[in-house]
Amino acid sequence: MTFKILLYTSLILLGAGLVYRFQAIARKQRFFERDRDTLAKKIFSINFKGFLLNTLFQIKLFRAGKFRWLAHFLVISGFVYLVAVHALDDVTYVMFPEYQPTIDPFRFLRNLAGAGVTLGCVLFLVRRLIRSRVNQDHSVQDKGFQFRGIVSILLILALVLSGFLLEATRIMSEPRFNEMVEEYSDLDGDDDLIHLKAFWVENYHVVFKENFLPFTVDLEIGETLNGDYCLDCHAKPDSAFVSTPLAKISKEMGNWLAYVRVDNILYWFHYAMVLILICFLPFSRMFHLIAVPLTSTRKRITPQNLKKEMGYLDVFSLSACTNCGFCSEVCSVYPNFQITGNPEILPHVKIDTVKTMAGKGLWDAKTVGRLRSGNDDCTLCGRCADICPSGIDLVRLWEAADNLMVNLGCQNNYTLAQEATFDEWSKQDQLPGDPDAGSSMDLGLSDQVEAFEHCVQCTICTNACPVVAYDLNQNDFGPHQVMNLLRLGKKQMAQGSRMVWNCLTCYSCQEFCPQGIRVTDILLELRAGGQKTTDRIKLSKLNNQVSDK
Amino acid sequence: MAALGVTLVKLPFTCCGNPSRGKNFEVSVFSAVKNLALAQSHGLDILTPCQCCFGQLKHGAYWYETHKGLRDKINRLLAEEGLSYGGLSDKQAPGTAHEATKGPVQIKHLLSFLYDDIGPDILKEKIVRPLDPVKTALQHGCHGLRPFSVTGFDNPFAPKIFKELVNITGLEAIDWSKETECCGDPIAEDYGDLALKILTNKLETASREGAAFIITACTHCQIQYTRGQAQQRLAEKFIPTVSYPVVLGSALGIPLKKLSPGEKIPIQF
Repeated sequence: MTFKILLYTSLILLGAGLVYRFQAIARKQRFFERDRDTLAKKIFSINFKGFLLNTLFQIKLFRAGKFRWLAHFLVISGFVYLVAVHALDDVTYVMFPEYQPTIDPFRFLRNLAGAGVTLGCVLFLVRRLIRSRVNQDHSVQDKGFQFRGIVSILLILALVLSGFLLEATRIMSEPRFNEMVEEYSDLDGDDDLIHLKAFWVENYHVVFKENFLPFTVDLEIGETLNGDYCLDCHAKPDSAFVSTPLAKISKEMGNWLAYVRVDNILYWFHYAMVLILICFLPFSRMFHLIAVPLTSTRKRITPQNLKKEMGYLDVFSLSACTNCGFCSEVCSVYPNFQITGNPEILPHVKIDTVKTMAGKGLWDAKTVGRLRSGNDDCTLCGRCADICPSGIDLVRLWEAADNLMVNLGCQNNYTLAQEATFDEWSKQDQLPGDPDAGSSMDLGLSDQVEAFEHCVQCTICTNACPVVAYDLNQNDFGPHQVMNLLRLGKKQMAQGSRMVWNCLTCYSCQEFCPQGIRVTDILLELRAGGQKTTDRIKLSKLNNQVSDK
Repeated sequence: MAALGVTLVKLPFTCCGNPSRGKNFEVSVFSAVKNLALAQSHGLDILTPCQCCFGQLKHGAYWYETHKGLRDKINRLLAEEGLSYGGLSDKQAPGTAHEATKGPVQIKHLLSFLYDDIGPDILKEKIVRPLDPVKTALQHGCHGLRPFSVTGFDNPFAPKIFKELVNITGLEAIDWSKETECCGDPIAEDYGDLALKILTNKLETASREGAAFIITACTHCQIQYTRGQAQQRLAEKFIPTVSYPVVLGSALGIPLKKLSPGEKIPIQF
């Protein structure tokens, strides 16, 4: 009765937890158009094959990494067996009418499944100790991915190990033996019982208080009794290749264990673990059991229709992320991270930040600023989405993250540079640089007088420039005027000019320049410098926004 | 490429670094050199169908040689991953490296590869299905052509490689006044109006100068020509765009479906 009450309570908690999670997620789903976002309602086209393959066999994980797939599949397949045949035996005995936990093959299979789950969990834990390349950097380590979800692994491990111990102590337990005798035989108090006991000591590894002297017992009678009363449900436990050795090892302690009824304590512990797992499912890493299959049903966006569709922040798929880091291993702009050290370039870090931002808005100026910069580095090449074992459409997500930031008031550098007032722009000269920006090793062309002093202001560059030609009304300076600004020492002003930010990098100006000035290279360098100024403006704006809240 | 007897090896390259040019010089050079080092570690040359990648790789190699401070930093970062680039590999003990690592990696654009390594004459022999002599305009792409001192691809003012390779297939390449001009792609993200304006003007001149369609030699240009709004303008002018591999492949007798799944292809092919 207590069992049932506890079980139903946990199931109700599980249901409530799931409802809560889904609701919280649904509240955050958003559609974006530029400058405006609405709550989302959208029907996705369904990818049925992907759903099936990824749910049953984790096909995407298999493609991404064989070793991790093996560990994962050991846990999943073992756990599914244990849940279906062992935990739900009241329900599934319909399919296995001959099922008894203590006869073969079920006894063997249970040990096999348990051993598989244990091995898989241990592999998970070992992998966490060996940091992958993408988690080595201290800026990523600070995010604590290494220990994310470790509670779930430990819970599962505790559940399975307690199961093994439970089986081992039950094998040994004298009180348990007596209970069974009382219930299933009429031998209670009978003289023959001693023969059965002796037979069980010999063959079933039970530990009794009394010793059986060889000449007082007849094992053949014991065997006959065993055949009469026990054999239908109790095969010899040797097929339990984990629990039986455990029982043999702890034989010496058998009497004491029986005295404190450790088997009952373990039984309750085992059961408690089950209930805890059920209750925590919606709130732990295990939620990906539900999130991944659902995410896998969704069809991926293609680069061609990326812009056609409105941005859509799919918070649900965010919760399917397990921080495995495969995405960052294949990331096209990983070299950017190697140079700049900005962890928000790496997809597995970005997705975590986006998740936080979807809930809290602009909560931390520095992190959001970095995310902005990292997301702008992204080329939307789609490799992360190709490999993602959870089937998350990451390309769509990065696009949505961009929109989310714009709507929260965090523009990209281009827009910021265009909108910045002259005051804002020139003020940045006096501010100290971002200490995290790292040393920069650019060409320094704009600081070397000889790089541009030969300019004779012939305007050939400006005449060759397509930006000047097509953007005549809005453009401020032609390339030759930018060169002149440099000669006047107005580097800061040049960095903020439209010419510098709109430059197509087509190198016409540089190719045509009769003086051999690296005009385009200088323009690009000015823009790179302007990016830093913009980063500072962005950071101070974000700081204001955060403190306003 | 199999039709030409060339085997391509797909390596886990990263981005070439071109998108970071206006943001962080160091990043752009490092990205390029890292890819070169990766190719070198396999003893292979790099082939790219994209002018931007081609130009960027050339740039990376150029500045790697020129900028000593940066070279040291890049070497250090490469060494952390067990890679090296350039002359360093000469010192490796025999047997530990591929033969080809002795020389620096060759950076090849698809066109320069077809022109220099295969040769127009051999290519001509392989053409089994010459195309109708329709007039076409050629979109070269900037980063391969300019700056010539770095890329050394073709004459930056009057390129001829592309033209010759197109004419081989039976098509007739015109002297388009805008053929070496930018397609507008680099600014399409931030300033779509300008990019579209540039593109529209290109289309207008192409159609005025008698071209039935445009062939691109650069992936980025092709992307720019097939963007949503650009596609609309193309439809208005009845000027479709195809990338060169589709043209050549079709002339080599490769079925269209295999060449370009899902791409709109002018009826002439």
